[in-house]
Amino acid sequence: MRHRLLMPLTAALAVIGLAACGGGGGSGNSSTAPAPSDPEAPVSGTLRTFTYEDTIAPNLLDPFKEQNPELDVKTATFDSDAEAAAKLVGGFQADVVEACADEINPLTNRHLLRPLDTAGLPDFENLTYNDVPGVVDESGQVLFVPVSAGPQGLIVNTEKVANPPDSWQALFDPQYEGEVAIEGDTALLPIAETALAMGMEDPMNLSAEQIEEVQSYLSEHRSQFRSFTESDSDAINLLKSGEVVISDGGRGTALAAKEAGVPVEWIAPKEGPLSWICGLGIPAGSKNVDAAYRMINYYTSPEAQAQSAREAYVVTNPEALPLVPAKFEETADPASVENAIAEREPPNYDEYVHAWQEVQSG
Amino acid sequence: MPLRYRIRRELPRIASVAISVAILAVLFGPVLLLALFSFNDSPIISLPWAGFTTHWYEVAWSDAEAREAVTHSLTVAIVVMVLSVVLGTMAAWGLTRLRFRGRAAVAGLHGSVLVVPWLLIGVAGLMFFSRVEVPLSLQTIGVMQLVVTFPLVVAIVSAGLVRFPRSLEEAAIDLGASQWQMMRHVVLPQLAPALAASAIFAFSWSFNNFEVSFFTGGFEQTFPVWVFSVLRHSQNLPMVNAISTVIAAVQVVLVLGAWRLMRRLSAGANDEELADIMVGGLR
Repeated sequence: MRHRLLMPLTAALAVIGLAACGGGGGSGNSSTAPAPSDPEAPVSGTLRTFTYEDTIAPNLLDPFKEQNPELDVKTATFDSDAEAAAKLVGGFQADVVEACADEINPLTNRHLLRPLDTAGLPDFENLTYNDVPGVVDESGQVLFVPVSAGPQGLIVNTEKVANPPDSWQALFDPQYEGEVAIEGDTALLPIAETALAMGMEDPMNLSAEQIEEVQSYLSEHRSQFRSFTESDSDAINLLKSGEVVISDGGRGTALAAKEAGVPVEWIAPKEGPLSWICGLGIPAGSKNVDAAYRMINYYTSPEAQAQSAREAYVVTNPEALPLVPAKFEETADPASVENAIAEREPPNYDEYVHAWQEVQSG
Repeated sequence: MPLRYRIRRELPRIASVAISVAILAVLFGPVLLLALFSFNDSPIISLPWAGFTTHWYEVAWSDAEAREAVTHSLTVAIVVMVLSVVLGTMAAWGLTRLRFRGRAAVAGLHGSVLVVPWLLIGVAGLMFFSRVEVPLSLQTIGVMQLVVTFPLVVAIVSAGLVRFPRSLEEAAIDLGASQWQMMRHVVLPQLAPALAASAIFAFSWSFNNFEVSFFTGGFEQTFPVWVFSVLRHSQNLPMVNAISTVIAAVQVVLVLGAWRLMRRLSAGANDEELADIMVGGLR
């Protein structure tokens, strides 16, 4: 149910953080983080993590602490990689940082991540999404280890939509004019979803002309949307109040809506759902690389992955599936969204943002 | 009196009441809704009403991270409040009672911090502590919050001191009072309402601060930073609502308490004068 709460602050943080690079100590060591010479050796000292809040939930982190009693784990959280980059550029020191493929640019542009040595990552070759752009850079270096993912599809009120649709085109079905919600806190999702609805095949790599077409299409169909949602809470509230009958969103959002008594179904569109992919990397300022590798390997272990699945996330280590509770078996299985399109920040992301701003401003 | 004349006479009063109600509804309506939905027996903040519950308060109370974050914020806010009031009062005294070269520039420097965005101050603080290799912690949050809060206290207390007639200080000295006795028995009693106002504002600014706390904090979260990180998940919303309702209620009680205290300390002052004492320094 991960969402992006892109407040105006986030952009300001990124700008200020990047502008502040001259004075900060965030550059550090950007060479490949060496794999531990003895992967089984006990780790000690302090391990400082800088992640999303749900990544350090007690059910996930406590077993790691118990397994490494000599390690003092300190945690700090952020709400987007842009914020994380701003703080790291300013000089904040951490040993492990969470990164997402669609938000990786703020981190890589400032060389804030150390490439990882797969020799120190025994599960890496078996992980899903281990080769998607963002997880690896253009030269094949591993930037972070994918730990979880979440597909973005359609959430449909099954009581009000007689024949559940199976295409992104449902967002633009005139039958539901004014009763549709689309995520509006980031440009990537509405532009990519509309591109897929229009039949474009690579929504993460649209040309300027394609973006213009998408913008025109969205502007023409602006009355279709009851709301540009800022969070999954927004979408759930609108679905519950009946103002919206179709929304885009993740499976976790649909699950939460169902648990709150809203009759909804999550559908993977035939053109392919989108999917965020997040995981853990080692920042340039890391001072406990061995412990950082230990933590990353713990988070891709079947036990930790099974805990992550309880958030309705897709696990990246298929070996975790037998440990996942029955309720989450389907949502955890990477095979259930095989045709998912990995979200990543396109090189011309500014054009996506501009187009979406034009649509929003009407 | 004919009805139309009565209406014409009453119209301004009715209009002012209506406008005031509308403004108050816009200002406080969302907060009241937030409080109302903290008792709704549903994880979703939406009608229809699902029934009354105190479940979210129980969830909040049993959340160790939430308790820890509130404790951190309280600790920082109390320390910042005390230091701001002490240092700010000393600075205000110097700026209003002493004559020295560059006084206007120093006063301007104090005031300038009030117009710099907290975001910039937070980033600047982060870079400063990074340069001098001071690990980020609650102490660094406290230091930078002091930077943004102290000028506010200077402004409020300075306004109080400017209003306070110096002839009373001179009379006390003429009558044989020492500097300390003059301060203790003449100045501070007159200044008490402004001190109370600045203390309440300093506490509130510190407790509610997000930007400075996010950038200058390390691995100990304050309450606003914790809220920002957990709000990514809709299921946390009711719990955050519950805690926020309690904190908002406590802050309202504190402000009302300060108001009553100020009324007692400034015997004879009417509401307008009290408001002037409370926010006069910000004008």
